[in-house]
Amino acid sequence: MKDIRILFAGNPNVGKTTLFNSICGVHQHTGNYPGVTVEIKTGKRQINGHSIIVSDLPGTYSLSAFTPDEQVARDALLSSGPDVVIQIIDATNIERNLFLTTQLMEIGLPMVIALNMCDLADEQGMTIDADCLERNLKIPVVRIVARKGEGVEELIKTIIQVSTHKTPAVHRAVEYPHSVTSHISEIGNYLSAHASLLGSLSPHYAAIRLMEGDEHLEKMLHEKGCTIPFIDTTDPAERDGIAEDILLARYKISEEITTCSVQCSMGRVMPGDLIDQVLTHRLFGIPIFLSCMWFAFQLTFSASNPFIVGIEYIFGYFTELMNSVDMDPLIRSFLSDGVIGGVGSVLVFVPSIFVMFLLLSILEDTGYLARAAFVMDRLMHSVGLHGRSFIPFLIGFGCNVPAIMATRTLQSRADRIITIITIPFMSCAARLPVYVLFAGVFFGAAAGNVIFFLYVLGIVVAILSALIFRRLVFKDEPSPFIMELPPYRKPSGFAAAVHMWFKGREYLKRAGLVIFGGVIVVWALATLPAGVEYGSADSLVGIIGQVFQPVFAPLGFNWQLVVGLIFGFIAKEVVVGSLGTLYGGEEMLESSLAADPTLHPIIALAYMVFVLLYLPCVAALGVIRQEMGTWKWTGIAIGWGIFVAYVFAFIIVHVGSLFIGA
Amino acid sequence: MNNTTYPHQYLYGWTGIVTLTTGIAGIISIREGAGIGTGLFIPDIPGGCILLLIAALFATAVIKGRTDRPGWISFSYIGALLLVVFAGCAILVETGNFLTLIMEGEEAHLLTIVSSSFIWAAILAIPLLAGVSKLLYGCSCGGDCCE
Amino acid sequence: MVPLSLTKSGEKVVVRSICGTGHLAKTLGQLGIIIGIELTIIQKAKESVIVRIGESRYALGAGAASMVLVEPRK
Ligand SMILES: Nc1nc2c(ncn2[C@@H]2O[C@H](COP(=O)(O)OP(=O)(O)OP(=O)(O)O)[C@@H](O)[C@H]2O)c(=O)[nH]1
Ligand SMILES: [Mg+2]
Repeated sequence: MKDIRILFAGNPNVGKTTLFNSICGVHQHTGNYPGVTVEIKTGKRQINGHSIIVSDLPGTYSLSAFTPDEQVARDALLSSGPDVVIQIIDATNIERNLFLTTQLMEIGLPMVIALNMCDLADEQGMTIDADCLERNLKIPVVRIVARKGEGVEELIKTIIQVSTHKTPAVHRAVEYPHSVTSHISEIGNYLSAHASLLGSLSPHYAAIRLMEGDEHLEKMLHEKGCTIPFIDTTDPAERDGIAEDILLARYKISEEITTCSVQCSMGRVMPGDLIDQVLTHRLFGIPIFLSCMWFAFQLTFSASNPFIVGIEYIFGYFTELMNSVDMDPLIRSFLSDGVIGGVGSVLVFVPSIFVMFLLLSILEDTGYLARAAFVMDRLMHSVGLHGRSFIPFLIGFGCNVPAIMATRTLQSRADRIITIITIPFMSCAARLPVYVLFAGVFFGAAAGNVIFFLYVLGIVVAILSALIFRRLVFKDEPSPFIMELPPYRKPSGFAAAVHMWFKGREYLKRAGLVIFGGVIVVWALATLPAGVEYGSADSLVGIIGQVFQPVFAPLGFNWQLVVGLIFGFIAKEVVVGSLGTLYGGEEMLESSLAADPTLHPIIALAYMVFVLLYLPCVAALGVIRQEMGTWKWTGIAIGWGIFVAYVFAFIIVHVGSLFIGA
Repeated sequence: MNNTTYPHQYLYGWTGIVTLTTGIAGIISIREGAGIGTGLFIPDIPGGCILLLIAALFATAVIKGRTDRPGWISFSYIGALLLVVFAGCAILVETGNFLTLIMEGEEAHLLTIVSSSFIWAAILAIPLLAGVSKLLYGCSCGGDCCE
Repeated sequence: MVPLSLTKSGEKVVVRSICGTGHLAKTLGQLGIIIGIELTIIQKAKESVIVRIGESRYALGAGAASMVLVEPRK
């Protein structure tokens, strides 16, 4: 049987990824705000001998595509030639969703509509006549509840049925006013002569897209040396008028179909609106957000502490066990310094990271995240950032990589570049072990405050960088803020826990590969050349460290710390991993750090600040390159990070030693 | 205010009481943090500030409630919700600290778990939350409380 | 006609005109903020607003809110 290739299209936040997860049995990221998915994810499902290849697209309001994530969706829809397009529609908001349907219908591909969130529609007392929708659109409509998996099997059956139809798909046509149709047929006729330039688009459809103002298509045709009558000759105002007529025609048909198929008690006040009046309040909005953050921070550290102590016990037990068993000294060194010392030092912090993922996922599911972006917009705007950048920033506290990807939801390139440059200053979960270790050893009871200070410092540096780049480099205003606010939903503890588990498992896998690998390399370098004292200045790692150490001498870092920084580039956890390897194992790490005469609190603070600010890890670097598109900006982003890190660490060491000296 | 009929009248009055208790709890926390308290509660200056913020939300609810009933409902709902959720967090945080101390073999008092002033303020807010959330959803289903 | 940034919270208004063309106006258009549509102002924080159209809520920053000219609904 032939593979059936299908695309999941639809407005943002209608549950495309939830359906994708339920069909393909995977756990892609979902969240209750627009713009969660920003790249195409593909999965597979075998059923009755058919193999269905599903691609989940980023959400989009229309095919005009002003942001990179929408462009990804548009390109997939227009040029990948799928067998069936599935539009997922939010049943509680059919009218707005149908606007996209009117655009998708015209592409001419076979379609199926999945009417999602039927549970919510029922709850809100809406009755939806799916048959009426089906008749009016001439597209099969299936009711589903993606979150519970209801109706999914029927949807698959319908998809298979539609894909095996031999006749080409004929959907309801949008009725344009005469002024529009005459232009469409004129351009369409002209384009039929150049059909080879259009790829898989039909000339008629290409004409509509051009009239609607598809800059992408227009540019492509121009590049191929095609001048289009009407488009190139008429003045922009008239073209805008026509584009507007098309828009209105689309809304007219959406409204018409909605009125006939949906009955609901409109005009009531939603509880969400009342809640919004408080949470987005002019005065209370920001303090409320800050207090939530404060408790999230407290929970991350205090609630996970007992687990951390427990894991420390387990590793202590292993170390003792190993010391009591007779074995080859090289193997013993590998196990106690390399495995337990390196990987163990990192694994100890896993509970904190799990709690942080849990809280972030709850925050994403309630719908509050989008409100926080709105509340912060004015502040962000005044430092030269787009309000929407706030969402990538918050995601960045978990991991910088998805945060950098999330900048795809920003319209203007300047906004994107500035946001990407500043995201690495958001202290990701991988940096946490460094802080907890150093703050715990050198600051004792004040450790919590020091860690909080580091998070705040990261934000302050991000703000300063944004100001500098906006004022000195781009010299324009951030583009205006427009964002859909999702409805509030009660977060489900279970869903959040599942989410945390998969995120956490990914983290553990990484710990198993990257961190383990990095630590093994450090251990091997510390053991070689043969016969040298383990981890001494004469070992290979000592030599490497000493070569770079002079660069960091003004900051007071010893060579072990420098080795940590160098290998920390692989992943920031490796900083602690390699220090654990070099300083005699998980058990010994804290006491030997405290005993090292070359270290004192000021240097420890400078080191933490340096780790916070310097280089993102290799993974983040790769994504920065991918999203920036040029090496120039990638280089600027990295260089800026190192420069800022060095300057801040330098200031801390020198100002701090004034106090200590006094 | 002719529209505060039974049983909302009591709920409205209760908002006033909760405003006071939350405010007092906040001040106690801050005083403990500054070292001039009784030692009965956990010193927590940021926590105290958050309590004062919530008290300000309740106060706004009381003031709004005189003319604008949905305003009262929304402000007291969010205030109570935040208070109860934060109190839950406070219990978790203190339990975490308590267990850590025990596991590290240090002295710890079980009572510290419940000596955050959040908890006491929150207990008083629970009836308010229950009552107001009913009204809030009542509003959304076309109830009589709005307009 | 006044810009959306000068309305009051709780008002119901009708969109009369959208200033400017560009991407921003088109973005508003694809969200359903078009001439003749009815909006409810849910929140007003300085110049920024949250509006409701049917079942969708949109947050508009000061820049976007000043582009939408509205009239109170009679
Ligand atoms: N009640 C209910 N909620 C649902 C249903 N389907 C999805 N959701 C919720 O809707 C939210 C959005 O789901 P996603 O799958 O992330 O939406 P998406 O369409 O992929 O969104 P983008 O990637 O941003 O375009 C999540 O919080 C889901 O839990 C459903 O059938 N019923
Ligand atoms: Mg998605």
